[in-house]
Amino acid sequence: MRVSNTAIGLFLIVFAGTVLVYVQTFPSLDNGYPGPALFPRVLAVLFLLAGIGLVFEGRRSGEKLLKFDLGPITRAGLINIGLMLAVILAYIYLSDLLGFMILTPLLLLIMAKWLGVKTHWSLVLAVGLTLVIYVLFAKILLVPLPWGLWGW
Amino acid sequence: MEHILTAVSLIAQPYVLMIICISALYGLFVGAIPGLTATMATALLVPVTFFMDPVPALAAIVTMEAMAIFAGDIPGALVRIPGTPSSAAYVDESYALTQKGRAGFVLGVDVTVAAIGGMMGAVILIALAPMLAEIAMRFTSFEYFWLACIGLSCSVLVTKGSLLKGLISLLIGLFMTTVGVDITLGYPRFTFGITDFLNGFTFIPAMIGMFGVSEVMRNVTGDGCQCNVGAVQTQKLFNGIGPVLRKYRLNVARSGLVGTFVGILPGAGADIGAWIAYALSKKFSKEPEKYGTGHIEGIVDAGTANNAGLGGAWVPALVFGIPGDSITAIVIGVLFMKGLRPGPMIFQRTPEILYAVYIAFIFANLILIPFGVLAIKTGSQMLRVPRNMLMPAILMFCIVGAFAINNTTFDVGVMLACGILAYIMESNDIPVAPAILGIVLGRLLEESFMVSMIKSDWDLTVFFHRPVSAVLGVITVILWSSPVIAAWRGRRRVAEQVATEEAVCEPKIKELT
Repeated sequence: MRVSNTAIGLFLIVFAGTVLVYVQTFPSLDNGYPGPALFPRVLAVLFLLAGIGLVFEGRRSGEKLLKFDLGPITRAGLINIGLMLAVILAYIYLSDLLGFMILTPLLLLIMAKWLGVKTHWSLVLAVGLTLVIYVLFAKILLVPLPWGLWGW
Repeated sequence: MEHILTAVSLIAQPYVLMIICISALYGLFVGAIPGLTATMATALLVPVTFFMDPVPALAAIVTMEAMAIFAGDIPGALVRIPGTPSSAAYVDESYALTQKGRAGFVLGVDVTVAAIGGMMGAVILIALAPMLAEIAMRFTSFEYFWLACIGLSCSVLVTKGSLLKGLISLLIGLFMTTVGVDITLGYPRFTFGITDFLNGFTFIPAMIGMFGVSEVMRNVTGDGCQCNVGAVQTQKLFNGIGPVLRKYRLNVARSGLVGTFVGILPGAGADIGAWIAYALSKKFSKEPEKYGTGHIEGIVDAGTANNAGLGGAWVPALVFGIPGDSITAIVIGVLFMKGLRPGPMIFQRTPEILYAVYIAFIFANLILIPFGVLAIKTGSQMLRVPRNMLMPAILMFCIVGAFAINNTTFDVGVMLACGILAYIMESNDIPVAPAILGIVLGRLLEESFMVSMIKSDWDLTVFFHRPVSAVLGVITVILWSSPVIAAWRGRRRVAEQVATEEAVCEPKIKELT
């Protein structure tokens, strides 16, 4: 997923500008010496310079301003990435409700089936890995896992 | 001596030995699978080691990395794909030998020189670290500020490709450390009212995201490697290795040193060490024309250097708290979370941790040969492990690991965001390593600067008052000016070339006209 250097540079310039404006709301030390704002401000200035440098490089190499190409990634590959990200989001939002023991094998099963693993192997993976993680974290390392509403 | 005995007794417990063996197998497996790096292995191992005592935790990481860097050679020789970036320098050479039917020989040499190189790195670490710690004892916030500057500058200067993109990566990492409560006034910066952000980005989930999730994203997009490999002839694996080692003993010594010292440089790890050792090998070889056709000399050099670099990377990590590579960066971040601040104080307060790292290094390199042989024998089977089953498993480990540290799904969100960030960065040739160093050193940099400034009532010249501080400051300034000087000299050389070409061409043009 490549974008042009110019676009990255422009993004950095806008980002740096926003930070520079925002850090003005930070308090300063006694006698007016810079305090919490100093470090972010220095970084923002460096971001600004780097952004200008990238725009300059991009313009000099004569690349298209709004280049956006997926490179070697196919449409199917992109959907796979989307699924992986969706699985993480599902874990964030559903683990408190469903709990580890339901959600983990379910998500593993979905991912494995989607990536073309045969059903019986998907089931082996889903159940097996859930048990391995359960034993490792909950039993050996004594780390609580999300138990969900049912307390599993 | 007393500490060494304590350390041996800490390592030689059945529980610790079992952990070392398991992490050795884990390292071999991850290293041998192309697309899974040793850094990713560390990021995934950290949530588990986080809940252990420091000694077994550090021993696990040291053993794992030694195994993974060697195991990266296995797919390099068998299918011409490096298992980790550290083996990339010599895959073509290894594969060329495999095509001549000598896969067993290459891997036998690989495992032997990896163990020798690793041992050299360990010995240099053990010899050098206490000496440097003596010096570091006298350091104050001024010196630490410059050290952080040197470390961060090195990480940018050693990046392959555009320096500007290396700098951007570093800035991203540094900026991430500004999130949370500030050290001067306790003012919450960039938290936007989210209480989870008050302590800043949680380090381990961020690492799991940047190395685990982004790797999974990359791996599910491709077709993966369709690895059809035959078994390696492993009957007489070590036949003919003795003469090779005798012939190239100076190469081994040179590359061990090169690898270790490249490892010591912050941000430059085993992969860069291997490239440099390979290039030097070709330059000083008596038979440079054979390189690329399946000549063992380059493999001996680069294979020694990458394992030697591992020990080197721990030198600045233990002595100054400045990571030598991405793996030690993760370790330092974790030690901070555990309240152990790496630096000269470790040498006084908790020397057993130090000696445990030393002994783990020696032990790991001793067991590298038997475990390595096992990995070579099962190498072709490991390469057949279906990727479409591996990726869901790794992703689930990432999620549970990120959750486990603080028991909050907020950290899983941090992991997700950092994973996407690292994926976008790498897709646009922005290296991730400087960002990691930025994340680890950002707080140290800001804290040492602010403390120094408040101590001196905002007199900037104090950074050059103390002699050691002044020397470090001058080194920093030289590092910063080096790209400018290099660019200027490059431009001048081009100008001179153009001038000489014109001088040569002009009379001819005149003649023609």
